[in-house]
Amino acid sequence: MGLESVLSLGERLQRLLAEADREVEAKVAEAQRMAEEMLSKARVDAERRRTMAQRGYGIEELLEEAEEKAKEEAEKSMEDYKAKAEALKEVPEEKIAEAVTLVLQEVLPR
Amino acid sequence: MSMTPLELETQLIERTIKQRNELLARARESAEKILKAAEEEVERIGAESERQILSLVGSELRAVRDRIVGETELEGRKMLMLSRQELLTRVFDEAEGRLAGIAEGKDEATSYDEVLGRLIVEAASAIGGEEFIVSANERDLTYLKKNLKKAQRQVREAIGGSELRLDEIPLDAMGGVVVRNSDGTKTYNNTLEGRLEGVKARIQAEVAQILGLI
Repeated sequence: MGLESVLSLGERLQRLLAEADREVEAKVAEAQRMAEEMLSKARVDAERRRTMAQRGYGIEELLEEAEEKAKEEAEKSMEDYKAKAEALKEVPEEKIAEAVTLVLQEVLPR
Repeated sequence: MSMTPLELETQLIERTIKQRNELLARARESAEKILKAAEEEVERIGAESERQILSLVGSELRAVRDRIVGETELEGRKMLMLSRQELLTRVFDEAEGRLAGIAEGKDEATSYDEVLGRLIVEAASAIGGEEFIVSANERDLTYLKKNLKKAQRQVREAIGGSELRLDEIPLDAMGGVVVRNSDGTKTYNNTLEGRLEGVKARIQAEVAQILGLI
């Protein structure tokens, strides 16, 4: 294997690098295209929703969503109230007795 | 030391492959960065759009929330209030039961005779004057008939010269007395029920605190 074959190999390797460069460009370009597409879709969608909302259309979904969220919030709130009400049934007997004693002390003349 | 052509070739191939891999890795990195930035921007656009829409229809959405959550809050607070009230009622009911026991002489720790005497003195002191008419339930009336002088002495010791008379008509009360002056212009309700009612209003907060309700 002489110098000629090394030079020929050099050319092939240069081609390989050139192909890699093209591949790189293509990958980046594809990413940019996808990014543009995502952004464009998001902008169009946002504008459409905003316009509809301005005209009072398409807010049913938002209202339903708000209603659902509110129901969930209300349910959670009711659970909290129920838990608090339930906890009141667990007031220790000695606390009840202490309160009764206080009432008696106040009612009976000293 | 010079390289053989084979070594030269190997080195060239390795260097080129390394270069190629680096190029492709950088490309992947760039593409990922571009897409990540785009995703973030999409998210920002969406959030901004939501914010604008919410500001446009915010009052309607708030009204929906307020209606649903508000109703539940009201219902929950009412439920909690009832539970608290039940607990307070239990305390005052138990106290009433204990008072009934005391009035019937079932409580060894408390002398109801002394309680009755103090109730008469307190009522007479509050009304003021010389002559008092005392009303009590049948049981207490019987006791007072037998111990009128003792009661009279207690009142005299407390407020000076005083005359006690008993109302023959029994009072419908668990215990205690209603005292009025002779011309009936001043009346002092010192029944146990009356005192309990007054105490209920006065120390409800204190009782609630003991029970951990506030």
